[in-house]
Amino acid sequence: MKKRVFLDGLLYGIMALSLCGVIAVLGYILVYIFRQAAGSLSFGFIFRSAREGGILPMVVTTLYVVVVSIAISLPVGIGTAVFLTEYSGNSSLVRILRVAIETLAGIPSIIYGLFGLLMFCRFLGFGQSIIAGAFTLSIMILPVIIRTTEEALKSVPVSFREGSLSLGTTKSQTIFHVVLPSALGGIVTSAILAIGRVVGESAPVLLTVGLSRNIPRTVFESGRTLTIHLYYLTNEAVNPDDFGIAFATAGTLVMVVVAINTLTKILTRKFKNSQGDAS
Amino acid sequence: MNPNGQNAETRDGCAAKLDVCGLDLYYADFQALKNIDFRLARHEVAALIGPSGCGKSTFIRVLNRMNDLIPSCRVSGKVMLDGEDIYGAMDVTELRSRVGMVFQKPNPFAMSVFDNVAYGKRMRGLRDKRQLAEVVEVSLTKAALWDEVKDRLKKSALSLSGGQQQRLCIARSIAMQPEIILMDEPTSALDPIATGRIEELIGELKKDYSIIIVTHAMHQASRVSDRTAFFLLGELIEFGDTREVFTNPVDKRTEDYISGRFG
Amino acid sequence: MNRKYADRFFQYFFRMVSLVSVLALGAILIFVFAQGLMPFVGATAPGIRLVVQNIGELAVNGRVYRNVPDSISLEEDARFISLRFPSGDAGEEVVDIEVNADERDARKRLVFARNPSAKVSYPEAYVVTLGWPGLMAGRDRKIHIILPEPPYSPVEFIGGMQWQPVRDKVFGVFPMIAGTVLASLGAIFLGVPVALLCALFMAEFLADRPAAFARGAIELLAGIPSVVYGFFGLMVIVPAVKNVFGIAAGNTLLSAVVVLALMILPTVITIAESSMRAVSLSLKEASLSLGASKMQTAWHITLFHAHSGVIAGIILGISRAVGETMAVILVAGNSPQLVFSPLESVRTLTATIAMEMGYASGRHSEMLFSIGVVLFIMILALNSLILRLRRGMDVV
Repeated sequence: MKKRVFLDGLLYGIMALSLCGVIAVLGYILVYIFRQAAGSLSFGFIFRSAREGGILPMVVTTLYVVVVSIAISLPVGIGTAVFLTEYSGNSSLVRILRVAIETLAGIPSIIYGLFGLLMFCRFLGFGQSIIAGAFTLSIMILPVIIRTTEEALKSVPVSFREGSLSLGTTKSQTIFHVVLPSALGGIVTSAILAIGRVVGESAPVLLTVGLSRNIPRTVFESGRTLTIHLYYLTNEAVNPDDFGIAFATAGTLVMVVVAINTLTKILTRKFKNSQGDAS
Repeated sequence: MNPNGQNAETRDGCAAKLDVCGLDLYYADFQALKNIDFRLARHEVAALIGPSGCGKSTFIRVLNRMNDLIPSCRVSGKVMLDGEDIYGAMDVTELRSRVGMVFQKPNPFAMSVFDNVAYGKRMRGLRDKRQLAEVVEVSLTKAALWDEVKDRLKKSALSLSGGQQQRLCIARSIAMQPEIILMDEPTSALDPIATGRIEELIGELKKDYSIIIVTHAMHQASRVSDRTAFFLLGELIEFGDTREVFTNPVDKRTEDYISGRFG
Repeated sequence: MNRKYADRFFQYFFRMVSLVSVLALGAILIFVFAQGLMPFVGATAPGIRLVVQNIGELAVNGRVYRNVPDSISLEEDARFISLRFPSGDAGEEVVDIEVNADERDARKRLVFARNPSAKVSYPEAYVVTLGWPGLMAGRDRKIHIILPEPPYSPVEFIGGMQWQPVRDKVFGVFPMIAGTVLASLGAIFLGVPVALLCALFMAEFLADRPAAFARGAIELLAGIPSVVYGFFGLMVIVPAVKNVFGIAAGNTLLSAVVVLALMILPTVITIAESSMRAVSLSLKEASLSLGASKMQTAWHITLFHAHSGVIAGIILGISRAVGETMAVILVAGNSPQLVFSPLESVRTLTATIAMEMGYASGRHSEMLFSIGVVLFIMILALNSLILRLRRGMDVV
């Protein structure tokens, strides 16, 4: 009996230790990057051009890529989620669609990069440009948006739909005026998650958007996102300043990620609360 | 056995609002309703009683085709509204605006009180602000809610109490100027006081509408309805004047149920 | 009744929109596979290509062409090629080339005649350069003769040990396949035990609030961009490996394994934990009522009944590790060699694509897509395994 108590305690200790270890590693990564970045990370750093040791062009390029890819992907993703929750019976199209979405979610990003390079840069003739990268990433984030939006739509009570339909509205009216507004919180969350993916993505961006250090004027120009800037600086660092800039860039990226995480947390909580009121 | 020729008339000789004839309903292989014949006159309140799962809710959901939402559901037989087959050429949204429905749980949309009541009319293309305001006021007044909410029409409907929400749902359905209102256990989620107000309201609404109410509480059926139908295992066992059904039922099973021997 | 038409319109609209995912997947499969299989089905060009300057006259199989451009693609059946340069300071130059199409050795395929002063060199496989010294510096004449590369053997591609894409045009990816497999398996061996301990602890022993905190931390771990992991690895893990083992460079398989293990932790923990939480309480209560301790119940009942979810999480972790690119590039060293020790530099399939796509051309570029196909097949196999497991989970 004593042996078992000892063994249980030992196992408990090991498990607790491993979880603490994982969280400690996360803490170490954050603290390490922010401490090293502290010297060079500032507002000026974010809003200075690359020649002056800032990252303004990268911020602009990243914003461009985010805005364009979300603008493409969000309507398609919401439309697909609406089809899956509101219209689909058990047709073969739905089964194919589900397998397709699962598969898309599992494809590694570098393969999206290869596809984007072939399809958008070469076949459609966009060359290495923001628009090519945005198209590529918009396909990549489609599964994220579809899944999260579907969850949000599913959590809209059936009684809302019945209430609307029983008043003699059409299905599409019910969807646009009752179902989608009620699922707004979840849809916004899905968009934010997708933004996180786009900001953090690197391999497909390297292949499709390129490395240009200029501030892009249109989406048909090449550019360099924050992630690619970090990769470029670390892999091909020439002067010692580059590591400082790299740390500051990494710090910026981590800040964006933390902000996005916090935002989704808040939104999810708020969204859950408002759902609680409705039922 | 072929009452089609006489469908448009009730026994009293006045036109039937609703005439259901030989209705069968299946969920996949399960038969939920068996050969139902049912008639409702204008300005009449019919109560549907019976134990849980007997098919009474399923039945009223046939009448505005809410069962269309369930893919495995099949319906055969005739359901005539003013002599027109609702499963025939009639447009389903048209039907639903003529046959309103109030649900078991109050289900106001997450919009303002005003928008909830105006919703149906808006969806039917009414844009004129003054007309909408009028519809909302009239409907809320009829649902005996106007005085309570007239100062907070812009507030969220979810801030109302349960009983108010249910009357709002009634107002929402009245706004469509329906001919029949279906009520699916409208008071089951409410406290006794709110229930009393809804029952009073049903008595008022009778002047303008035909009403079918599904209820679990037999005293409610006896209080509000003119006629009562007893359902058991998907069959319509007995359908007659409320007083007759409660005091002198024809069928042994009705008597057993009313006297509380099962259910 | 335009409400009704609007309704009908939107019904079709949503259906059409949802087809985008299917079409996108189809396009990805078709494009990547079509490009990636190209090197194995056909030669790089139908015939010989010439890059020349100031050519006067070109004769192929006896037919004479004048005013030819600098870059010339010849027909497949070109046997005898004769080039004539205008007479200049060095006098008229004539080059006669006989093509021996049946010869397998690229260097023996061309037989030169009447080019006494020219120097023949082979700067790359399948490229022959003839040069004449000019009278002045910078005036020398050159002809590049680019021979078509025959279809590449898939066996030499998959099994080949050499990756010399530019000079020798040798494309053997076995070292990269081995690198990917070793790095992923290493990450699994290192990461999965820790992940399972964490997941079980969070699912069984933590109260709601600390569990929510731990979950938040792990979500944050999942959200950190892979480049940042790579950067952190390069700054912290690589020097650590270098110092601990006393080697010249810390960019090794071991560093890649550590970084990947860190990166797959959130994936495995999240999926394993949610499937552990799904194990029904009554099973655990039954075990506890039989006198088993909480720890025994956790290990024997929860872990056992959640095993298909745990396995799905592990497989998903493998597929993440296999597909990871940027973090690995930064820490793995990237020598395309077969490794025998964790302290050697290693290169993965994904790293090869990302590093070389920028400058690759011709067959080299196509071969990078072929690597993509290999990667794709590995991922599809892992995915179908997960789908099968999920189906199994639904039945249980």
